[in-house]
Amino acid sequence: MTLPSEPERTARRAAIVGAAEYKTVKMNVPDARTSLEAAADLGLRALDDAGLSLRDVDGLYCVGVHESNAFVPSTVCEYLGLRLDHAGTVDLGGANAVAMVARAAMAIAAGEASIVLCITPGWPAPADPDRITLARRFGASSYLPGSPQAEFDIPLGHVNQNALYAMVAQRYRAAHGYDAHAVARVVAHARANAAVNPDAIFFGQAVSEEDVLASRMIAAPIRMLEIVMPVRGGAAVVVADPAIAARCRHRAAMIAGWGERLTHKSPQHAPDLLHPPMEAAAARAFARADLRPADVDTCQIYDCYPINTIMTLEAAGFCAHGDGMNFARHHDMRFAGDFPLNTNGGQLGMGQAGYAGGMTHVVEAFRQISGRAQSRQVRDCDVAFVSGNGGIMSEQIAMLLEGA
Amino acid sequence: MPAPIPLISTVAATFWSGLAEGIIRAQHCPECDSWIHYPRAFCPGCGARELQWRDVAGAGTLHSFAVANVPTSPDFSDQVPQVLAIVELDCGIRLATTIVDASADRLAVGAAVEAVFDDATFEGLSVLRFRLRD
Repeated sequence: MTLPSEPERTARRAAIVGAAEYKTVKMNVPDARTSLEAAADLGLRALDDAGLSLRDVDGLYCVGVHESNAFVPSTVCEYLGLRLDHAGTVDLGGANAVAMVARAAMAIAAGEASIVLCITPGWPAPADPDRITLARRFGASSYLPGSPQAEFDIPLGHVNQNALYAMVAQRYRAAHGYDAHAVARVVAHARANAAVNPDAIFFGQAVSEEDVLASRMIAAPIRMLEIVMPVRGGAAVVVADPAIAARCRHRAAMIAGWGERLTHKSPQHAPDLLHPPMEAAAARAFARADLRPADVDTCQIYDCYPINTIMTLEAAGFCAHGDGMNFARHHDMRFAGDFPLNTNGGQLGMGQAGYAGGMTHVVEAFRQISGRAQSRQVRDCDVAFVSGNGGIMSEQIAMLLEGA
Repeated sequence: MPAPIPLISTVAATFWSGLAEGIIRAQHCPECDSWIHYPRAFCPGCGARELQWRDVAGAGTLHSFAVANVPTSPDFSDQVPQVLAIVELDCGIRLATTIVDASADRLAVGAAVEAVFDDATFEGLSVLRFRLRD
């Protein structure tokens, strides 16, 4: 007897069949709902989109329920009245959303579950003054005794993403040169895509390269319009067994392959800032899916900053190492362009609704493949590349989705 | 607002007591001949538990840097612009630090830097910052 190969065991053994996403709004727009309520609501909406019902669900991944410090899956399970055979949460920052979908696919391939909800309620933290203060002072770093960040990073000011991504960009500049116009073009094209997306916070608000280059310098070379805006939102998807997917309402997006890689928390400990974990992650995703970058019809790339978009394009093999800025300058990344990228606006156009910021890329890839991307639909969209990114390019994941 | 003080761990006490004396100490792993920072109970290269403390020179290069015009947290609002840096010491370890007395036009990846022992920011504690070498 021959054991099945890795791709045979896990590739195309599960599919995204339903999705829900809130229109993003400013953080200060009042909404009395808890993030637990939002999680439940998003789960129900995603199931409805798939044509499935709550009682079909036997798996759950959820992250970002601020009312609970722990026991998040069981709290959401109880709230929705579910009986689950598989559940969990993920702690990979901006990679959470794609990582949840990957884990759901693995659980389904292993026969642990058949319909898995993946929910990211992108809700602000509750009005707990202590937690808000901690978040503002320490961001994604831990100021608890014994934490390396509390001992070696935070006291020296190494906290908050903007300046730390600027250090990545400065090193990129030293190695490859830096084309500020190309970087601004990535933002302008994302905002052009958002401008026709009624669910985007920047709907109707395109910006030009010149606007980006004229915006305030926050930490050179990163300018204000290159930084994602925190917003209120939320998103969820349903992942199901292919046999169930065939009975669902819309064309399913088969999870053809994925790969993830973690190497560090703080950027001074990155093995090589210019060769991010995405290189290994994307190589595994393409190998598992038996696809190549040339097969991809649209990319949905985690764009907390355009430098991350550009370095992801390089690391995933859409262009050569060090050629990302040249690539951005010579391709049209708008939805009708020759390289449709972040067609809903990405996070630069949608805003970053907590962990739902990562999920917006998954939702948009599914919408494009299922032919429901409205006026921004990419023609004949069969294969999508989706990425997730946590920390300072610390933990990254690549996924390939393919129309059923 | 004062910067948050370093929360010193037991395993790194030798590093911090060295700084107070104007000496940089780093762990070295005799098993795999690698340098380690931040201090750990194990070598992250090979898992060895028997690590040695060695004095290292304060000369290094700018691995990267960022000038933050907006404070990285409210705790640093009186230190703008912050000149954050990753410095690689000549022995190979990399540290998160800041550059003092920096003129922006001289900041460059690869620039030579030297250690500055800052005992003014935190009471009873010295932290390692760097300046550009002439």
